[in-house]
Formats: sequence, structure tokens, C-alpha cells
Amino acid sequence: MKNNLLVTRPENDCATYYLSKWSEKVIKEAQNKGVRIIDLWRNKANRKRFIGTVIKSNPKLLFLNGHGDSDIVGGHNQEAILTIKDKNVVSCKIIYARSCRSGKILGNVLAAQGVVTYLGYKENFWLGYRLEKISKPLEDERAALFLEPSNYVILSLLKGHSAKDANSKSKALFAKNIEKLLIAGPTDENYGYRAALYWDMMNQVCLGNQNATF
Amino acid sequence: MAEEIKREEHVISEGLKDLVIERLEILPSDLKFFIGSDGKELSKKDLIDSVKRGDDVGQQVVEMEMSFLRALKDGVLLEEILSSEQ
Repeated sequence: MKNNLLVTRPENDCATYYLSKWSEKVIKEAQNKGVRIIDLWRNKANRKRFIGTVIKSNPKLLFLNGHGDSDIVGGHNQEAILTIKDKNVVSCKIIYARSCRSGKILGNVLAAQGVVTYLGYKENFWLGYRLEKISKPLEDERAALFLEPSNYVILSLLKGHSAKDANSKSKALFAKNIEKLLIAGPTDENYGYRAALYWDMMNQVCLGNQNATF
Repeated sequence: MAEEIKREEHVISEGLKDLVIERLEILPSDLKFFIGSDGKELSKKDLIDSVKRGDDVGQQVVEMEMSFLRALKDGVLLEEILSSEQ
């Protein structure tokens, strides 16, 4: 039996719209692999529905997009959908939270108390974008510098790689993008994003069981 | 410089602020970022103003720039790039 992948995709501002649209690439790839997708999109990405769906459908992998803080991951309209008190609901799961700072406290607590592996960010996730592409995020090559490497965490897990390898391979893509900008030099219009790419790369963490696979 | 970097987590020295602002000034004017728990939209001017004020975003910009420079200087970034090619 195929494992389920649950994706949360709030869309209540430009930042979440970007994360949501770029998650479509992951969803498409997962569908091609025959993975069953549970897509909590826009107002479906609320706490009640999230908790209920995790309990009912028992997805093995959770891909959470949204705003966050050190102790929560947010859903639509910034409602906290995952908190420390949900440790029993999400035990035995692999979680990748593409949100700010949840790898600092929430991820550590959950990974110590039943979650198999928690991948996320210890600090703010910085996302560069191009104002002219704000309505077409998938055509924004500047955002791609940040979101292709982060998408690869899930894409790598879908390929059967371990959580540790998924994290490393994703970081390698961040490093590749930094290298491209360094080679292109200061005349490249995206050169100013290299420090932010390095920041995201260095703050991306893999907590808990490093050998976990999807 | 070393002392200034050590102190950056608490109080950002004026010298360090100036260094980071100089680095930001040369960036393209259309620089844009989303960050934070509320998805703040930040322009180049916002970043420079935050560094000048020394607020949370400004402190993070300084930390980001300094960690990048350290990684370049110490060869850590080069190692990451070389290992990404394996």
C-alpha cells in the first residue's frame, strides 16, 4: 500500500501564495509516483481539519507550508495548526515544515517525543522574489533560487532517500545556487541574494531519526 | 573587527552597521524578500532602515551578512560547494 502525503497550502498573503504555488510542483511529482495526496488548500488548511485529517488518514509524511514561529506552524490566516501539544497526533510521522523558526523549539520537542523526523528551519526562512512576478510565482526565477532547493527535501524523500540525505541534497542545491551567483558576480541582478540563500541553507535542520524514509 | 563580530548578538556596533549598510547599498534597487511569522515584504530600503535602527530584522540582516562573510573567509562555503558537486 502506498503511503499518504499530506500538504498544507494556506494562501492568505503573497508569501503563502508563493509557497502554495511552488508546492504544486511537489504534488505533481508525488502524483506521478502514485502517492496519495491529501491537499489542505487555502481555508482547508485550518487546525480542526488538519488534526482531523492526520488522525483519520494517517499520512506518513506531512509537508507544511505557512508562517511559523519557534513553537508553532501556521495555516490559513496564520491560525496555529501544529503546536507542541499535538505531539500524540503527529507521532510516527515525518514532517517537513517550510515555515519560519519552527525547527528551533517545536521540531526539537516533537522529534524527542514521538515524531520520527522533523525537517525545518531554526530561524526565519528568507525568500527572495521579483515584484513583477508576484501574480505568477512559478515564473519567478529569483524565488526559484530558494524554493527549488527547499522543494527538494520532499522530492528526495519521495525518491526513497533517507531524511538525512534529503536534507543534505537540498542543502547541496542551495550551495549550487550560491555558487552560480558567485560565479556570475556583482553584475548579476540576483547576486544580492547569496547571503540569504546561505542563511536558509545553514538554518535548515533535520531532527530525530536521520535514517527515516517515506 | 573580531570584537565587533563577537558583540553582534547583543548590540550591533556602528562600524558593523556601516559595513553591512555599505554591502546592502550596492544591491539592486528591486531587491525584495518575504520573511517572518507574518510574511513581511521587505525592500532594500527596509533592510537598510532596519539595520540603522538595530531592530530584529536589522540584527538578523547583520548576522546573515557576517555569517556569509565568515563562511567565505573560513572556506566553509567552498567546502559546501565542493561537496555539493560530488
